[in-house]
Amino acid sequence: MNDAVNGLLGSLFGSLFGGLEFASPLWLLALPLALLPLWPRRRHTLDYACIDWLPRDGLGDALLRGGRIAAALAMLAAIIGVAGIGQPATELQRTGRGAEIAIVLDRSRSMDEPLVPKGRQPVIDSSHESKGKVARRLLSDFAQRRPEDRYALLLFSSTPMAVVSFTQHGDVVQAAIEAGGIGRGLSETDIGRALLAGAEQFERRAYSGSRILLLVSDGAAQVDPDMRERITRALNKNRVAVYWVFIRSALSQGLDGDPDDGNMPEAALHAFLKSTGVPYQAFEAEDPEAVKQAVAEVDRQQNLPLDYAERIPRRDFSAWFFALALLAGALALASRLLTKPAWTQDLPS
Amino acid sequence: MMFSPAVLLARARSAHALPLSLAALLFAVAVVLPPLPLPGRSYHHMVVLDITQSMNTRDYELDGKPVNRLDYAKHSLGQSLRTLPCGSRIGWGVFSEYRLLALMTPVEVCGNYHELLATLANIDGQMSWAGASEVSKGLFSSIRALRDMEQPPSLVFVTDGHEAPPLNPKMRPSFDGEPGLVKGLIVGTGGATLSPIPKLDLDGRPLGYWKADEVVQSNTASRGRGGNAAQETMVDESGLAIESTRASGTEHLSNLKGAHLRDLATQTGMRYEALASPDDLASALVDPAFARQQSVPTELGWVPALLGLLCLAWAYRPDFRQPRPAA
Repeated sequence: MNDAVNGLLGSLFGSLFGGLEFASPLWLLALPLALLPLWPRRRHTLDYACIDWLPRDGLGDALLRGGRIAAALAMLAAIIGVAGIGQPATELQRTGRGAEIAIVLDRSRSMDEPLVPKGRQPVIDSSHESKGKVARRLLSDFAQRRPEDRYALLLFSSTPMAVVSFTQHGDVVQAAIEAGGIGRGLSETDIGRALLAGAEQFERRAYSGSRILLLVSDGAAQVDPDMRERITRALNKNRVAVYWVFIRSALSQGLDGDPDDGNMPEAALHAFLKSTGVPYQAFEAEDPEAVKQAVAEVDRQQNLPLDYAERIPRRDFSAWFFALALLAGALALASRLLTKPAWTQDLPS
Repeated sequence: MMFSPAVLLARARSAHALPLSLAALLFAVAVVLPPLPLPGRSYHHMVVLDITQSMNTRDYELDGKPVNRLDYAKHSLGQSLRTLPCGSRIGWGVFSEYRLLALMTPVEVCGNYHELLATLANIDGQMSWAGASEVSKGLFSSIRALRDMEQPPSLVFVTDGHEAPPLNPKMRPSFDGEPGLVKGLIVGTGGATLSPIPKLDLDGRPLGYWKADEVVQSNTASRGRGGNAAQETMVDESGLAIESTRASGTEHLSNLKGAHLRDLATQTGMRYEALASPDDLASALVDPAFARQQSVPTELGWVPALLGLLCLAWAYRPDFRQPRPAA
């Protein structure tokens, strides 16, 4: 009920004020109060036996009338101000140079293992950071450096899970990245379905700029030929470039191992992604320059303008209306000060 | 001489003009008053949705159509987001198997309303990574996970309480944390009567309903050791044989396990609320017990402006004096 009244009042007066809105439109119900000063009254009239005796006072009449109109105006402005007039939050269409980036983040248990520097043996009670933590730091760093881009985020283990749909809200993206640090990883990894789901994020979206699938994974999973074909098709159809932030497992040979060796799924995935025909680039997470490289690579990529919506927060205009009320109120006061009060008011009664 | 400052001042303070002088003064205050930091209420909730199969049971109704528990809970949550004061934060997580998977740590609701709704819309049963539904363990581990966060949010755990595999009434998982350390609300979903649970394939296509012989009907503890002589039973901590409890035979059907959830709420120091309508959920979420006080810069110009308005209304009040009888 309350909502309905609010909505009705808001839209009624909102349209009157050309796209402005009211924070608490219920106050508008007080608008008839502004008619009070215009109401004819007898309190300020003189009791006088014969009014025809008195000369007409044109200036006085005009002053009085002006004062009342000013008072009505002051009340009108005050009510509008109290109702919280303002410009609603809007979105402006802008054209920028950002990219659309679908982050595909590995949430499998292997990501909980420590990232051991190349050539070192993994030890129990390792003081190294976990692979997942390194990945989250890299991602968060990346997203912070490129705030104009639109991001989507998918988690995957045995199934891909779309968490964030394309958005420019950096804090939402950071929150989704941060959530990856809560609890351990899930048991399985199906990187193929994740890549497919990542590529499909771009489906049915207007092509408005560079599209990048940012895979963050240790790549410890095989992809079968059927799935490879579907991924290749989806990537090419949607024109998605693939960047892989590779997080090396302990004892892994890295990406340039023998792809046909069944024990090196990361090398096999690297070879497969190279063969898809879309732009592909791998970055090693251990490399302190990895993020900078990735950012530079995206900078180079974006050659198409990207349409995006910039959100303008609500602007409140009530202070302006209070100022108007002050001005009109002062005029009304001046009118009263300049005219002689009715005789009855001077009498102590 | 007539309009000397002294005269004007005297007139401004006369009963005749005083309300107008006051009004002008109050409007001036309204214009220059800066935003003041006032204590305001806000809420930080981590909402965890049960996405196990029993949540697909269609025992709610929305716009005259039957909907499943998960969809009804999502609808109610979406509605509730509007009623949270700005500055409140909401995060999303899902529960399946025996654990929480956090999807998003709490973010501010007003600025990220559409993003929060978009993520909520993405949550469905296909996200589930395993078939089991150990609600008690899931709740306890969620509390642990939240306790370790910086500035732990309150936990809103949305579930029907359907445990699969079923629990042995005497050997229930026990809560080892401190009750009430993580505040929260258990939101019970589901109808009062048993309903069949839809069976879906990996892509969410319907495959009919779960049948009695397709689900685990008895609890693991009283089943004894599988593949061994039937007499051999498990023993509890004190070495006594665990009595085998009779299987209910209705584990393929589901209803709201209100008593179980109420019991979990008591153990963990949380509140329990059965989900009856979006409005109920919205008011449960803004329970003062979960509120945080924080100072919010608040525009208060409207207060003096309103007082000024009243002064003007008084100055120009209609007079209801009876006209004098003609002399």
